[in-house]
Amino acid sequence: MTENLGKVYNSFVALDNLNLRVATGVILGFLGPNGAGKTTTIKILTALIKPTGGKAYLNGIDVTSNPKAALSDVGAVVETPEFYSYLTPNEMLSYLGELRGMSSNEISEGSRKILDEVKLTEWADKPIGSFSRGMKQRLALAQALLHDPMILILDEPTSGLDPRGMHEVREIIKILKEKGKTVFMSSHLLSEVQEICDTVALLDRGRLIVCDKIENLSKISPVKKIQVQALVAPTDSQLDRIRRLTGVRSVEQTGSQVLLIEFEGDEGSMAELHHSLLGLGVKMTSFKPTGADLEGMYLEMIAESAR
Amino acid sequence: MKSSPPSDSEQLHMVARYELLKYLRGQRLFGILIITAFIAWLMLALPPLIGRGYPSDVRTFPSTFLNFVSILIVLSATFFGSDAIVSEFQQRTGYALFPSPIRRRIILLGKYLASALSSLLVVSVYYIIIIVSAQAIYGTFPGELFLSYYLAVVYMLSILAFAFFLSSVMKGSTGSAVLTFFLFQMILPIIDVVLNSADIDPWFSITHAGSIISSILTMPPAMGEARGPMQPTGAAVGIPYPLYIPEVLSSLIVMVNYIAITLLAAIRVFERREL
Repeated sequence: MTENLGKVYNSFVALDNLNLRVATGVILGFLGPNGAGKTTTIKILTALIKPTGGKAYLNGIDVTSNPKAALSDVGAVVETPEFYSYLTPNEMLSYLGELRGMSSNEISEGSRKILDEVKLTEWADKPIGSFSRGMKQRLALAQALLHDPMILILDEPTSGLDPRGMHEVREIIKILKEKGKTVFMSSHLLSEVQEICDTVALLDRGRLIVCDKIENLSKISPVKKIQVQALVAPTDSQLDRIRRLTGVRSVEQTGSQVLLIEFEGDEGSMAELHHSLLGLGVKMTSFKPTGADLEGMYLEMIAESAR
Repeated sequence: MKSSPPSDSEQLHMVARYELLKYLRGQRLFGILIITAFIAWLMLALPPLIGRGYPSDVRTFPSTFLNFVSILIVLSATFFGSDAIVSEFQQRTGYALFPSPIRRRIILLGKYLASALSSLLVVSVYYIIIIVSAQAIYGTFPGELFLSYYLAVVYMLSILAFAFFLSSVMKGSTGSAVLTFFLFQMILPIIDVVLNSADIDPWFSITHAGSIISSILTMPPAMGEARGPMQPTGAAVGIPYPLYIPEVLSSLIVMVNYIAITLLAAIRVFERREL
């Protein structure tokens, strides 16, 4: 939770009276353009920097005045951390686990399990100095999860990972969600946020624009994306006619037989769109709304905030 | 698996243990021990090799060795202290360590403990070589060597504390290492000489206070009375002006103050420094 949290660098306001409350068990996606104040917030929450105003609390404990207690049940990945090159993942986890008061049994058992989850088992005893950025990111996630914290603060957790790695990290976060953990996660990948998070906080120029459940945000922006899979690729003439249908904002052909339709309207209008597509001779094998157009909402709200 | 963080003192030892591992794995400790052995070898092997032999006086023999103690201490501070804090910021390892439930002052003190233990090993090895050599060559050694050793340990702690302060302030490891080495090996000694030449007692200077380590064997027996502008003893070492020689007690007070002030300053800067 943050209360009127502020951070000013010389004359630049990085955070402006940020008030944010994250309930237990919520996976919150922290969004905003570059320089919006996302990393500044995360750095304050993890005691890497001090605020110039306001308070930040973790589990009800003030991070600035009592970081040791506040961070005791928190796991964090901030930016892409580096690790001591002379240590191995097992030793690094052992060091950080000891600092958290874990017993040697808990550390060895926990390390084995978590290194397996982040697919670093075969590198467990190799010096970190030889690791790639993606491997360090996996290790960063491992150290954040080692002590099974109730709160996770993740700053772009899939950054630097290959597509498979990104998928694996998302799966881990989904498991955390099932376990009832609270995750505060910043990301530039809106699709990722949409897939994993149940709540979104949007920040722009240090100010909180909105913080709400994704399903509620879809009401703010009625724009939806619908993925249509056709049996045969639609002709140019069919595409032109689809673009002219009521509510259709744009049509993108993402594959020879796949269309991504940006659509504005309620469920009834969507049913009409489905009917119209059939009427135009588009032989659909699937018609799949992809939920709220978070990107549209994001751009709309950022533009509104700039006005 | 819910554990509460260990006490500050336990965490301090953990940090020190992993810092010592860094010195061992990074070959720093081994490297400086090699340098120590090499200096000692030069001191022992060169006189016979150039046909001059060892001094006839048992007090002169160790005093030659002691001139190099301060260099070893500065090297230790450069090897172990100069990048201890700055590297956490420059190499971004702080992103993994600082969000842990540990106070920054404990991180700094743990690192300081590790660097002090490593430096203590280096200094102790050097003094053991001096004592064993003096015993082997002369059949005895001056008792003042023990006092010199204790003073060297306090001087080492003060130089390390200063190096930690520089490490907390500096932006890069290389700059911190270069500054640490040249500050104690060149800049401050130059200031001492200039103050001496201006007939000002540099009693407050840490390097001046540290010179007690070697001067203890050459100063007059009533050390306290040697204070102030002396007869031109500087001429004996080619310095044509009065030379102030520090006292044991005042040197100790100066060194202890440097430890306290620079270590507190280092903690203060480190706690406020943002990553």
